[in-house]
Amino acid sequence: MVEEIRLIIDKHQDPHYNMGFDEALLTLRVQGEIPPTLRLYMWDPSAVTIGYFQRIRDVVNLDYALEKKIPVIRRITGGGAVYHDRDGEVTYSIVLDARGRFTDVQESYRIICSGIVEALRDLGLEAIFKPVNDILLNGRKVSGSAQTRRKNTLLQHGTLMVSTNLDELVRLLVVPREKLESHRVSSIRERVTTVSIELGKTLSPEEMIPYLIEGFRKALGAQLIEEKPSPSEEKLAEKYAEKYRSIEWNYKR
Amino acid sequence: MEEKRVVIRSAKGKTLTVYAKVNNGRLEEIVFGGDYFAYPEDSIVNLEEKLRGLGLEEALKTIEEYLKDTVLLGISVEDLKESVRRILS
Repeated sequence: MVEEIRLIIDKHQDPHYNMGFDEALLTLRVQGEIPPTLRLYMWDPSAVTIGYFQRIRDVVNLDYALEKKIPVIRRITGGGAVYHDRDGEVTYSIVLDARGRFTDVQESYRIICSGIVEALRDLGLEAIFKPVNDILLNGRKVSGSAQTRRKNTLLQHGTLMVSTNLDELVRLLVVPREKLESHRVSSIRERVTTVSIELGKTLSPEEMIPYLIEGFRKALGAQLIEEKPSPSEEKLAEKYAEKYRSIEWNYKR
Repeated sequence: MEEKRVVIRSAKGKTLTVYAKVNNGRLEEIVFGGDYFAYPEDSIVNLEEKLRGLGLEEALKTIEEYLKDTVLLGISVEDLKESVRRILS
């Protein structure tokens, strides 16, 4: 059982740096340089991330992203495309040892995602975890997560749409017709929601953060101890950020 | 040379979107795109390399053998094989 988890809160960071930081957490945890760590962060500017296996031109409206100067970044984790709204979204990432109750991949998704489920329930919302990696409110997706593993260490990161501009999300993300049909919807717009929509009042990402801290504390059964990122973490994050800026990486599929 | 795209909505929950270039019944190039998960991720990329130049029977055998130790989430080995069957038939 994990007893203490370090907490980093990183508001409004550069998108490439954000992905670089998550990869740095994974590398440094594998090397035993840092303790298990939970990071809550936001984006500036807004950005799109895509899953490791996705073909970039099939899942993102690249012309529109370019016009709006919205970076599109390939993640090291699988899963689908995500719109990270600067003013409406919180992202989490966590690095843990993939042992004990975190050994099984699907079970580890469930445990980590229950941090968000708990946070939403604290707000009075009936959140449901839907395997593989979704959290639903009223049958609509409000959060998705993605996990990768290296040498018995897991990195999971995920999005929570607090007050995301869903019209912008619809303009940016392209979903295969076959996937929409299987969900019996004609547009992705019918399949997603935000915390604010479900609450019936606007909640900001900043206001969501204390709920997430409490939710993850309960879900993980751990004390969360806030610290600033270390200089070596920031340096490695910057190094990896260069990869996330490169055409070779982002357009490799 | 023919370009093909096959989409499979897996019973496991995710979407597999496969692109391939086919020449004389053999895979010239194949990309297993989609919003699924594979551990380790490299096994899919390496498999795509291994499948170059293969016909249907060899390709199916290679998928089966190559992914023996890969954990897939959201799709199955059978989905990958089915996509290749559709591409090469």
